[in-house]
Amino acid sequence: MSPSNDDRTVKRRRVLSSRTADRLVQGREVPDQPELTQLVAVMSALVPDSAPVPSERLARLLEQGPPVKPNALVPRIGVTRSSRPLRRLSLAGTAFAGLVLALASTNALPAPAQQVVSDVVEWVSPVEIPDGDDQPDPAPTRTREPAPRVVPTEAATPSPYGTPGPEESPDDDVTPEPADDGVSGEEPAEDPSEEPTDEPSDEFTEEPTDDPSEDDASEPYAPQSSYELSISPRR
Amino acid sequence: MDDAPLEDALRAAQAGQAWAARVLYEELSPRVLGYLRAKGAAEPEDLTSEVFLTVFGRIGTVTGGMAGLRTFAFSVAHARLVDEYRRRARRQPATEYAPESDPRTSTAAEDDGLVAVQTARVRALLDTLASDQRDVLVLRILGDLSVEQVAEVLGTSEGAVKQRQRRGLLALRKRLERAGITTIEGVTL
Repeated sequence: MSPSNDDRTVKRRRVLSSRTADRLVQGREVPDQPELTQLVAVMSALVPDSAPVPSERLARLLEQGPPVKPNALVPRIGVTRSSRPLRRLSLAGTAFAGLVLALASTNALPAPAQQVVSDVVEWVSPVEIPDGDDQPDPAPTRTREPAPRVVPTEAATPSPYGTPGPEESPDDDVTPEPADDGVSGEEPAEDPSEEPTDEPSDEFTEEPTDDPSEDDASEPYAPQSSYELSISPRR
Repeated sequence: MDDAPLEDALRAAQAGQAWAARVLYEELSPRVLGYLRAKGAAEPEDLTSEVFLTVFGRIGTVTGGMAGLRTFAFSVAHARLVDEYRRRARRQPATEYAPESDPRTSTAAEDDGLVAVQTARVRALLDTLASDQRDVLVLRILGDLSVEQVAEVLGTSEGAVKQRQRRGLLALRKRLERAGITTIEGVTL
């Protein structure tokens, strides 16, 4: 039994395709949808035929014309074409700086460059990057073996850092060197004419801090008063 | 509709020509006013003037010709309307809309009475829709905007606009059939 024409009409009216809806809102007549066609016509009639009376401010603007700004006609959407090279350049610079910092953090740069990068980084931030001098020396000039030591006398050389000074030579005839020269305290000076210098050598500055526990174990700290007592007979 | 003269007027308005601004105002303001009325603006004429003050103040930044200007004008109108809704919501609690108590149905001086009544009836019908469906139908029918333009004004996709307009029309038809409404103030449905 085939459906009647009325049934088909009712079924067609129930269906509202997207295309039909589009035709309706555009104000076109759709015979299958008489109610909606009329409703859209009524809605469209709500648009007045003439423009409303403008307010005072708008009327003044319409008399004088819209304001024109110098760059108003240039759309400013996204990145302008002229700024693209600068952006690329800044990206490349950032990438290069990151690469240099990464190499410097692993101490992989040549020594001068490593020194420069280390100085710059330590100057602008609290981060410490090894400089070129921190590279391990393949042939160390000074062994870590402690020299034969004697039991320290009371005449311990005062250290400018408040730590025990270098060991004094067992030879009592040797004039005690100033504590600034850490090497001369351990071994007799080869060249007596050489003047002691106040500038601390690398060995001195590093030795007390390398392994302080070793020195602490072998040499008890000698206070300043004992030093004065020990050298007073020499005067 | 041939937009060529209006495109010329738009370029002239962007160059600061007063006559061109008047041409554009005459062309666009009736639809903006109809949109604001259908959406229930408290003072649609004043709001229309505010919308065009904003539009002409930034007309130099408009791209896309007349289509871009239409989209921009209705985007401003939509935003102003949302602002007004928020202000109203802060001032007083929302109440159910009752067409018979709407004073504009009897005191609208700018209309001949029939249009005001039709506006109220159409608004009463539109108020039964979901807000997103109502926005799409009003912008499509009263604003005469395309699907793409409506999507841009509402910040949604074209597919969503098509779906909302279809569902909105279906809901309106169902509402008319259930209520047995066959005429709106003399207009046979």
